[in-house]
Amino acid sequence: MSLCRTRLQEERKQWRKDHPFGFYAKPVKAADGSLDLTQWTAGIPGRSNTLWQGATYPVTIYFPEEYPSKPPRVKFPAGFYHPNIYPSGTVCLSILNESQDWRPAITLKQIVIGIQELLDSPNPNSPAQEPAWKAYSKDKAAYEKKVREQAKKYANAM
Amino acid sequence: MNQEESDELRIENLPELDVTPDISGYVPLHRDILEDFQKTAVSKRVEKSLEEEISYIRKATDDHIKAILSNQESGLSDMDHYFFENNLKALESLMRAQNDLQIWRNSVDETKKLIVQTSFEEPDYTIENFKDYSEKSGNPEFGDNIMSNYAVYAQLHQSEGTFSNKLKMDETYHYLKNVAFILARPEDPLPDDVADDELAISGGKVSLRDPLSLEYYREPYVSLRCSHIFEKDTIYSHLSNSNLCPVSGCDARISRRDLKPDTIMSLRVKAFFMLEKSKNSSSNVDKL
Ligand SMILES: [Zn+2]
Repeated sequence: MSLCRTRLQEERKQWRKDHPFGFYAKPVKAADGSLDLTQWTAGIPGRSNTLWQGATYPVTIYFPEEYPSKPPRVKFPAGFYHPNIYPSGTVCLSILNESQDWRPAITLKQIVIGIQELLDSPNPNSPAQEPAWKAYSKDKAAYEKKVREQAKKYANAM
Repeated sequence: MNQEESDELRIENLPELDVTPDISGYVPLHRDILEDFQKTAVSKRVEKSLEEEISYIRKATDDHIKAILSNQESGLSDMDHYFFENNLKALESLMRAQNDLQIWRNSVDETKKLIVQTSFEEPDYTIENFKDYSEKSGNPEFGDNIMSNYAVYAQLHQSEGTFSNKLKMDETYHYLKNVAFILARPEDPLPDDVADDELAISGGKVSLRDPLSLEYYREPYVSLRCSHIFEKDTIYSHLSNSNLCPVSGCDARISRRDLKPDTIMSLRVKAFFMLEKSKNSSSNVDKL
């Protein structure tokens, strides 16, 4: 079995055994009903006491054939409002960049926690979209309003 | 003088591990004799038999571990503890003998240098007139010289803690010292390492899984550059793409040459599965 598949199966086992509170992550079902281990859906809860609280933000995680040599790609829904997320929804984060801080030993758990942290602590040095970046750096009030609106959209069911 | 004979004498001294021979009989002067002196002053045989003893201890330990691992009953008996402790003690005295032998060899080397220097200055002396020369020149006899060098080096080693460092760095010694602990608690950090090894330990447990495949180790290899541990196959294939350590936050550059089998981790995994198995079989007994 390839390292990619072995690793993803173990990631799945370990996630089911133990994962951080409020998160979810699971491989998607392929058309024929079998599990596609290379594509997962996951939910990232906004941290409490931040603008992002009260909601769980959906992402799709794509694992390449060369995983874990190469990092997975993580995508929010297109148009997701955040300074470091491309208009396509792709997350711009150094640990997810092969030429930056990606290392094969970084686990799924570390990735989703890294993304949760990014939500409330944008990196001003790597703007990925115009609207959120501009507002974040020039008009905090407008930025916060937009983020709160988005949080309502993904609000946790009561 | 008969060199064979004194050689034999030192071999007989081996049981007490005393490698400080009586050198006063050796006063070599001619270059020919000098070469013989260099060869025989410390017997290669002593060195070799020390090595053999050490590898025997290692093998006996490994055999004993194998027997314990294949035994269904878990837990170490008093006999097992006694066996491991005794082997450790024996290893330590053998290593001390090796260390003394090394100090001794250094002293001989120093004296050899002196002989060479002196024989350039005074090329004519012989066995007959050397004592005379030595008295006149105030240079001590070579035997005395070796002994005093030995004393100086031994003192130096003692004060610098060379030997205790050597023990600490020695793979076999480290292994033997921790065998009983690992067999009983395969996932716990070693008492020695608790202070300085925060790597690979999460939540107080040592991970028994390869960070690349997340599977239990089968053939763990450790990086000598950074102490990170990997499964042999997965780290080898990683190294064909990149020489950067796969662990986040580690800047070590690794090549195959920097990897060696990790006997401690290997034992941990085996002990872990032994304990799991005995847990399962005892819970089956409970059910019955
Ligand atoms: Zn490393």
